[in-house]
Amino acid sequence: MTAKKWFFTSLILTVLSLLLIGGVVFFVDPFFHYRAPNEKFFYKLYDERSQNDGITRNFDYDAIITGTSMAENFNATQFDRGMDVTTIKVPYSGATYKEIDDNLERAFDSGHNIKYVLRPLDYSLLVRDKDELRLDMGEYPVWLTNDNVLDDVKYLLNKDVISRYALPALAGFFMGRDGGHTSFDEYCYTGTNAKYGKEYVLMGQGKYKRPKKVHEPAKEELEMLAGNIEQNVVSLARQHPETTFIYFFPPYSMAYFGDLMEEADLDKMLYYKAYAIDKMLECDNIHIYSFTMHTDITADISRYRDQAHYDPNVNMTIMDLIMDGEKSGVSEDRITSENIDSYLEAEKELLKNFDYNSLLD
Amino acid sequence: MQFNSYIFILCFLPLSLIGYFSFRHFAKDKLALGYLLLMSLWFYGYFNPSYLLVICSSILVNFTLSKCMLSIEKAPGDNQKRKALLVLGLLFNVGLIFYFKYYDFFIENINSLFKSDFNLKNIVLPLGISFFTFQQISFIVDAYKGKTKDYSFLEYALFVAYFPQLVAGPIVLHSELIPQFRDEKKHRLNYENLSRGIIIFTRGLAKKMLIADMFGGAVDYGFTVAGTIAVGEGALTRPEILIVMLSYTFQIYFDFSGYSDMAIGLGKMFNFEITRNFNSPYKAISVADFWKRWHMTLTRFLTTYIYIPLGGNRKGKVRTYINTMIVFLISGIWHGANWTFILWGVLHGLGQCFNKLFHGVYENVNGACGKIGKGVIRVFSWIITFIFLNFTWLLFRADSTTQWIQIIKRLGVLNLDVRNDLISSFRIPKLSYLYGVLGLPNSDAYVLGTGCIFAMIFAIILCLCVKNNTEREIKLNRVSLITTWALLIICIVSMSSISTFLYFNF
Repeated sequence: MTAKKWFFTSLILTVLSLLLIGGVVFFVDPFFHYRAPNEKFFYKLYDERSQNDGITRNFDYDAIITGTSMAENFNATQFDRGMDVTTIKVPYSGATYKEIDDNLERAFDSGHNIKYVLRPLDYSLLVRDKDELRLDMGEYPVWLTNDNVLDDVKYLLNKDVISRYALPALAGFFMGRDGGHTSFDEYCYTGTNAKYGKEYVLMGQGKYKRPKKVHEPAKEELEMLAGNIEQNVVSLARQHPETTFIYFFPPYSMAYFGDLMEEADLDKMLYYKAYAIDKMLECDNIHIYSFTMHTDITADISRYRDQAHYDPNVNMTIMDLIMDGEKSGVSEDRITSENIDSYLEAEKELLKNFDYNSLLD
Repeated sequence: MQFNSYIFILCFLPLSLIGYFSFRHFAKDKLALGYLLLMSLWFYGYFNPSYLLVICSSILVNFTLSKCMLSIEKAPGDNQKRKALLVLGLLFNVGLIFYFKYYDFFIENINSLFKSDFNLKNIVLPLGISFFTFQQISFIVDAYKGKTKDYSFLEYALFVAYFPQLVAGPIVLHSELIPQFRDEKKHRLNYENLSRGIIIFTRGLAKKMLIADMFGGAVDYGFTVAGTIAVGEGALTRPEILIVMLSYTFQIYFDFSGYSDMAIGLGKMFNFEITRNFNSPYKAISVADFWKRWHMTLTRFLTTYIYIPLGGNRKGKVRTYINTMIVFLISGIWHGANWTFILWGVLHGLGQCFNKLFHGVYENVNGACGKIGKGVIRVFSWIITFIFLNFTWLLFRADSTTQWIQIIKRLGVLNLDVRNDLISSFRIPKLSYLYGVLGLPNSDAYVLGTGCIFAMIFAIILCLCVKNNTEREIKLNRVSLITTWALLIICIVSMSSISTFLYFNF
């Protein structure tokens, strides 16, 4: 083989191969980066941070379940039936408020008429910088969320996209598999393999001790909280009065609050929560729910896999409670301008006087 | 810009080749060199545009000094001025590298020693500064000795900034590269060189992306654990330390030699021969042998510009040992601003001195043995050398000497557990399924353990039994075409992946 022939053959082979790979990914579009799913293919939904953006921009829906892992085990169909909507579930495990809000903005910017947003507000992420992202967790696929067309090469010529998503979808088509996608009930569902129980929640926990002094809210933390709530929670609701934003404080277990109490941070956290609620109540279209008072859930630590993560039945229960509240307009778990003081007082009374050592029995 | 990036392979490299050979085709030689220089500066500035200021000023100063020396040479008897210019040049280059690379380290040590509170500057280290500074030191010294020719600024600037060797070497000499810029036989596109260059580049790319990065996964995880849990429950176990240590030994070799291969391949595409930097270093049977095979252009620089001017082995045994230790101390410091690198250099210096000290005994024993005896001694020497290299590489990678000592101490704790996360980068796709079909245990631990063992065996075979890319005859046939094409495609699509998010709480 002459050198010239070797060179041109290798060049043509390489260019054609790259065009083929990029072409397959573009055509199948497993992350819905360019368009809605092709009805002929079955799409596996698996990777939250890579697929949520495309789902949010290109699926047809009018309700969103989003948030952190606290939202992963919701059944979208339960919300569909209860509220007569078409729901997508796009949670981001471990995400800060900023990341979740950015995705919600994409939902509105892509022209969707959204009736409901259902979103947990994690206590653990309340006091964070308004622009903080979880850079400790892995590399963000910004090549999917930015508008730089040249960056698409990282999507089109990507070994995981082609081997784990695009080719299996093509293979499914040729093997006669019906089109569609992983249901939003199954997507991100973590209930199947998780282990729940006291031994996981209280691992290494000794007797709870009451602190001698409690920590006061700090100025820098309050500034951070204010920025976070304004930019990533309230601002979007203010811009979209036509949408109902259902925000809820997830029922973290009493072991979590016991820990806060022991570290002298409980009063501070309740203060921050009150501040956040106060700000959110300025928008009529934000409906706030809180489930701390449900000790049938929070004090039953056999329903948790750690201090915060509850089993999927809790997701079903709280979704039912929220939907009942929305439909009837009355709910013991909803915090409004009328009941804010009494609710927070009762919650404080409960959490400050709870016998946390009873969890150890 | 990294060689293993989309922009380099799909955009920068084709543009560089097309532009350069187009200018050469129309006999616009200065434009061709200028174009290659501009492309090289784009390549360098892509990392961080502010780096350009550093490299450009370094080139300007060194070129001006060399020109001054050359003009003084024309007036014989005025050696003092030339010496002053040499000292000025050396001070400038060493000062530059000291400021960017060692200033904070120096201040940290001063603060720690004298309990002072001098501010750190947190200086961003310009990539490749160690390489292009050494390259220019050699040039200045040669200019002083009158060994340089009357190079044009364009030629000199391209010699320093030429992108294949700019960031990670090899440390090329002016006498090797600049005459090639002038050689008219190298001005025309040569399909032989272009094709062979592509093959060598692709092999280097595969070494880096498919082998080194695989081992890198275990190394990163291992040192993350060592950094968070140094001792006690959860710290690295004995087999985990061995895996991390071997993994780093392979990672650094395949990464660095892969990079050198890519540089050589790229040079070849432009018809330039770039100096070989590795010669199967893990085949070495002594530390001295290792340094003849590992980062050969650094060894050449240190020998030519430090060891020999210090007197080499010409001033008696004691001075030879002192000179050797000085050279390795400088080598250690050159590698990085941390006591780990300094200690690493010292240990290699001691290894080298040990070899010199017992070289006579070794030769006598070896000479008295038969063929089998020689073989046994050779194997024994290789094992000792390889173990020495592994332990010293572990130090090279450690965050601190304390961490290195803690890891080595952990070897004494009997715990044979291996975490799956440590060896997850060795996963062989579909092996679990195959084990299931064969009725073998197919848990993650078995599958990953098998992958880890296969990877280690594969790497050691590559290191010991396969010829170098520079030694092997590269044939342009169907086999090389298919393997190059396949490796290139696999590497290109491996440049992007879906990141696994590590924390799943909250």
